Amino acid sequence: MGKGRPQITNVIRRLRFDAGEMTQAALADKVGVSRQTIVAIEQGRYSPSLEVAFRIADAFGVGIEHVFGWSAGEGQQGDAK
Amino acid sequence: MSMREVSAICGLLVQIAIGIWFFGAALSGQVAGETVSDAAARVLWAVLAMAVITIATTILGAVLVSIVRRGEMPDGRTDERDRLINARSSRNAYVALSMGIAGTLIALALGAIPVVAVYGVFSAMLLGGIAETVSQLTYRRLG
Repeated sequence: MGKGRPQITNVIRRLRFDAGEMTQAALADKVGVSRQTIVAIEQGRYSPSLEVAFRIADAFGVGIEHVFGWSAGEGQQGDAK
Repeated sequence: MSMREVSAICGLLVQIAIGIWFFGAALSGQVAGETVSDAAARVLWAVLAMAVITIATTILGAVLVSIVRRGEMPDGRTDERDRLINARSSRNAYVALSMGIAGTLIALALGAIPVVAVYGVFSAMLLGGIAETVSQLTYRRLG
């Protein structure tokens, strides 16, 4: 949502698969958000808050860095210099 | 399709239908010579009708979607994404409402008859409502 595609990537789909094909609804219940929000996050259409990101990582029992990544676009790289 | 989307779609359809009915009557000359008081009363009835019909169609829509899905609709839990969508939709509605009000004031300033103000205010309300609903549907689908 908003300005361009989020630069934040995630491996939630793979983590759900590794967790015995955990459903999106089950993950949503664990995290405390709606299934639609999990779908949006998984598809990269919505970047969650830090709190929800931590909750998702906690639901899989891994660190947040194992769930989310960040790929800087050319514009961002230029801005950072 | 979630309950929120069904509710938004029903609300949008009702707003459009009431708008067509309201302005259709005005444009066809059925309310020629209408006073400001008459027009305001008609607007109030239209707003009341909109609220009642929206509630009724939302319930009906939820029932129909549940029947088609052969199960209950997803729960209505509100989370951070819903709050963000609502905030952005309200902002868009505010912009649309402001534009409608500004347009009405400009029309009055240019010498339009007073009854135009009533129609202008109602148009602004409809515009704001439609902008909010369309924004919600769009943001829910796109992000």
